[in-house]
Amino acid sequence: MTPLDSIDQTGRQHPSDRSALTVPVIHYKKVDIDGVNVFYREAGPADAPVLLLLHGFPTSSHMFRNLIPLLADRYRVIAPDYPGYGQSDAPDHTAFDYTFAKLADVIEKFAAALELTKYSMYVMDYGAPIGYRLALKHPERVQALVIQNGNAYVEGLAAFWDPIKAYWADKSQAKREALAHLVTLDLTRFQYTDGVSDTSRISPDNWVIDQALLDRPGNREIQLDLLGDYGSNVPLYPDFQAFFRQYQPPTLIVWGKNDVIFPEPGAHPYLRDLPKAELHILDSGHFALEDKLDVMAPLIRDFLDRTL
Amino acid sequence: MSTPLSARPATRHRSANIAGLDIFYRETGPADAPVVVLLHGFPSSSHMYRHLIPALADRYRVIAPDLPGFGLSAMPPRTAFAYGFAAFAEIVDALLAHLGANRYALYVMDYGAPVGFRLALRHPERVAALVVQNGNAYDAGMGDFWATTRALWKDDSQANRDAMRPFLTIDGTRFQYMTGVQDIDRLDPAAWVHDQYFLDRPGNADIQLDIIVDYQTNVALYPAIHAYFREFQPPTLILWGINDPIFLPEGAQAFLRDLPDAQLHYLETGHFALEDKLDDMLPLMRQFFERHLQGER
Repeated sequence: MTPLDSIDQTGRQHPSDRSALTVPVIHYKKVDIDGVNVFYREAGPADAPVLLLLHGFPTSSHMFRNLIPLLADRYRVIAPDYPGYGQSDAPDHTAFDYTFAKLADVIEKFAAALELTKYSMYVMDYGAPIGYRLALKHPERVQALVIQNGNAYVEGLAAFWDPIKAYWADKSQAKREALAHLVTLDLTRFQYTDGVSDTSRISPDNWVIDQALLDRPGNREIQLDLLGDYGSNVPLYPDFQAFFRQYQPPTLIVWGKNDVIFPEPGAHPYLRDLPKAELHILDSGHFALEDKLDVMAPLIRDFLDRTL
Repeated sequence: MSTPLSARPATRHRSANIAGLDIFYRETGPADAPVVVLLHGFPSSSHMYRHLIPALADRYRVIAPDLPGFGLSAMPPRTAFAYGFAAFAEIVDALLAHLGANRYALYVMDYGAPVGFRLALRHPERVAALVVQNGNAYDAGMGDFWATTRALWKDDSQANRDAMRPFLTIDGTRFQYMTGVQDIDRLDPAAWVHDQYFLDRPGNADIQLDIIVDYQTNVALYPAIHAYFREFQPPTLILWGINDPIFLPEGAQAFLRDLPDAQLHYLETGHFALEDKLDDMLPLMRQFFERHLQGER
């Protein structure tokens, strides 16, 4: 018998509900960028408009696993893992500059390797400064922005950041070690569950996968380097804002209002520079896609369909 | 009418206390819909059903538990819990009773097969339909891969236990996902990252070895399972990764001896067929459920 030859094929020949029978195929690939294997998820038609999904800390393209199939019928969805995250290589921190400038360089080269000349970007958490740095390099390539708990205004850096700011001001070992709890299982779980009203919607897969990778030998130092470097994004906020003002990319802002890491006060200032942006405040936390996908996916689809 | 993917019910992640153990399960779908129970294989958990669950959620109440010692369910020490298939079936039975599921379709894969078939032996009238995916019930399905395990069954010695240990490492886990798969780039590495995270817990390897030793009790039950098939003729869909070295396609074909009306579909893949062939499997499953779960509930 050959594959899918069947004793009873009637089922395949009379599908009663085509959309319910279809699941998009997701591809999991790697591309070499300057000797570092960069892993990415890709789905959707090759000639469709590109949506680049840029993940947050401490996760990877895994955070987009449920969104990707909901967009893949109409968009070419591409979600890379930065070096040090997910399935991308994680060279030792003594051998690789774990800075936002470097991660933006890698993503710029990644986009070039995939021949992406125009794209929309979904940016969240660390994905925001990486995406905005990419936008400063190639502003004309940005077709639209979806911003989710991704910061570009000092109003958005609240008390959660105080110990991190202390490390920015004083790069001592003591101040560095004071951040070590940020890579523990308790904090990873907290990032997903805090501010969420129905935690049964949150899949524990999130912290299982993230923590398995954070617990790899040497990964802690990578994460502490990047927490230390996040301060380099703040002086660029005026440049990010100037990009918004000058280019006015069509923008959808979806923001979990209970996020203590990037709280709601960081969402509203975008409207100063992007007065036409659509702003949706959600009753969710930091990783809003985990419990509000059913609200967010239609908003994102509707926005992209109108914009692209 | 078609239901947009985004409008489907969310998956819930819950635990129930069953016989003193926290048993984790994923659940979705309308509370009054026909129930589909998904029983996972080694060394995974309900995680292996992460893509299937939302794809059934519009029409079925889907329940996918983690067995004790796997995934997010409790992992009592082996001195405190008799890890084995009799206990697994008992716990799943109690969980389903706790959730008010007294008629259901079973999707069984790998370890899920003996668990599900033991459940069927307890309550044949509760089983509305079977989906069997690389889940064995016939000697014909077990080839050379089982030589090390058979040696362990014959003599549960330290040396024979140690010979199984490489199978519990990341290389063994990756082997289970990759062998026989044509398009490696359809495989989500989260599968083995997830499984290995739980296998690497202190004490888990010895638990897994106990379970592997106990698997022989399933083989002893094969005649009883065949008799159940013959007597009750549950509607059955067999979806089988043809390149699976663990459960061979001969094991799929053998079901037809006792279930002549079963639908059998071979898939050009390996053991964890859902990872790369969900796009082929979902239409077959939905059609099958539509035909056989109509009127349930």
